[in-house]
Parts: sequence; structure tokens; C-alpha cells
Amino acid sequence: MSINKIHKNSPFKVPKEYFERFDATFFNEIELKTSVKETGFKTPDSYLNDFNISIPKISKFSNLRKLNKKYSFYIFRTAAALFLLFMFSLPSEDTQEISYEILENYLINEGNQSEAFIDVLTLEDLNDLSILEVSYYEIENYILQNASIETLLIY
Amino acid sequence: MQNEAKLLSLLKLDNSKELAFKTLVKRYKEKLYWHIRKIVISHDDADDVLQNTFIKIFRNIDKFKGDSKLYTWMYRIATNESISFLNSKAKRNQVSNKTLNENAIQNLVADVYFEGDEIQLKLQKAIAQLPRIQQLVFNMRYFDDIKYKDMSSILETSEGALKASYHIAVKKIKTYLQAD
Repeated sequence: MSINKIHKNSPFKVPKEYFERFDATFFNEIELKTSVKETGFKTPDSYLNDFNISIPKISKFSNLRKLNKKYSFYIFRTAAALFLLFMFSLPSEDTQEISYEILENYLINEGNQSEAFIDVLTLEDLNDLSILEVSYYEIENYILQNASIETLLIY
Repeated sequence: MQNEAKLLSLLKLDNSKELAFKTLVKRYKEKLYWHIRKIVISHDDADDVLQNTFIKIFRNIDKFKGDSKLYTWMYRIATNESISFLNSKAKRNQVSNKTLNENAIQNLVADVYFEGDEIQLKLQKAIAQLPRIQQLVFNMRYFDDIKYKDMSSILETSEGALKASYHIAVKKIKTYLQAD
């Protein structure tokens, strides 16, 4: 029996145009590699030998965070109550404008309490967020600037 | 592989973590540097991304469950850090990613850390014309000879799709080089 006949009767298959593609890639690659193999990039002298990472010291900080997390819900609620009390006790015409500014600053400086926020928000509150006029473009920009792709891909 | 498993277990213990991490940096800094450098092109940018990559590895090593090889996991972080870095840079400079890439290649001519000849410069220009995924696949296969199986784990794409991307990339580059 000839080899061709064996192949014709074989139950094994290859992807469509596999052999044509294999040839093309193989010969194109060989041809390319004969003219250029390296990138041409180089590094400063002994850069890789001297490369070092200062390991971030996070142990004390992480303990502190654990402690904060435990009480963050209560801290957040107390702070929010005091904040609201303070705001409503201010007889000012610009209350609305100031409150937005103060709120924004508060959220920027103290707002790393996302879990506490999530705990406090109800489904109704979340639905109300839909009235905010934020375009997809702005959301996309925000994600691009702030979210870590690595985090999104890995977790 | 066994060494990798041992290193990983040392990385997860508090008393050996720092020393094991130093070993990890020593072992992989060069490979990761060149992988990053081919994506971001400039040495200074590659240095920044390499630092960030290792810091991220250090912070997340406890969450690594061993579903993939340690080195493919690190390559994935390096790749994502590089892309994230380029996106932020493009945003900061208010240019598109394509323009940013073209500018980086233009700057190579005067770059003291590029000693490529005319054909190497032309190859970099050809690579810059490719879509991002084809650039990644071409660099990883052509220069680093990374297996499709590992590449599949790094880029989270099927081996078949990666082979097709490489085939198209090689064809486009050959055409680009022959055109001039």
C-alpha cells in the first residue's frame, strides 16, 4: 500500500489549508530571518546587572487597612452623619454649590472606602444613579485612565 | 518546573518572601525587560514598566493560584502593564495609539539605545504597521521563539488564532519590506 493511500484512508485531519499556510509561514520566516534576526535595541551599560526593585513595605500599612476595614462602616456612617448635620446647619445661599465641592473633595481625599459605600447604597440608590448624565465616552475615558487592565484580565 | 514550584512556595511564605522575590527578579528581569521593550520601544519607558510589573507581581503573588505557569502569568502582567502604559501615554499626549507608536519608531533614529541598521529600523517600522495583537504575536514568536501554547496562556487567545495572526503578520512584514 502506498503512503498516499494510507493518508487518504486516515481518520486524522488537519485544519483547512494547513499545509499551504505552513509552507508560506515557514519560507517567509526563513527569508526574513536571513536578512534580520535581532531588534537592534540595546540598554545602558550594565543596566540589567544593576537592575533592582525596592520591595514595597506594605506589612504595617496592610495591618492598618485591616483595622480600618473592620471599623470603616461605622466610621463612614458617623462621618456622613456629622457631615450632613454640618451642611444642613449652614444657612447659606450657596449651600448647594459648596456642598458639591466639599463632597467632591471629601470623596477624593477620604473616598477610598468603596466597600462602605456599597454597604450603604440600596438598590433604589443605585437605580437613581442612572439619571446622572455621564456619557459612555466619559466612562470609557475614566476606565482607561484609572482601571488596571491587568486586574480586569486576571480577576 | 520543579524550581518554579519551589520558588512559588517560598514566595508565599512571609519569612522567605523577600529573598525569593529577589531570586525571581534576578531570574526573569532580562526576559521581561526585552518583552516589554519590544512593546514600548524606548528604554526609559521599558524601565518604568518593568519596575511596575515587578511591583505588581510582588503585590499579587499571593493571589496566583498556579492555574498557569508562573512565567506565563508574569508575561501576562508585563504585557498588560505595557499596553496600559501606552494607552495612558497616548491619552496624556492627546494622540491616538497608532500615532504614539509611529512617533516612537521615528524617535528610534536618534535613540542612543538603538543601534539597529537600516533593515532593523525598517523591520520596526513594519511591525508598527500591524494591529496590536499581531505585533505581540510576531515579537514573541519571531524574536523570543515562545511556544504557541505559552503564548495562548499569556494572551488568553486560542493557539489557532495566534498561528493565524503570526502567519498574517509575517506575510504583511515581508510585503512591507519588499515594497521599498
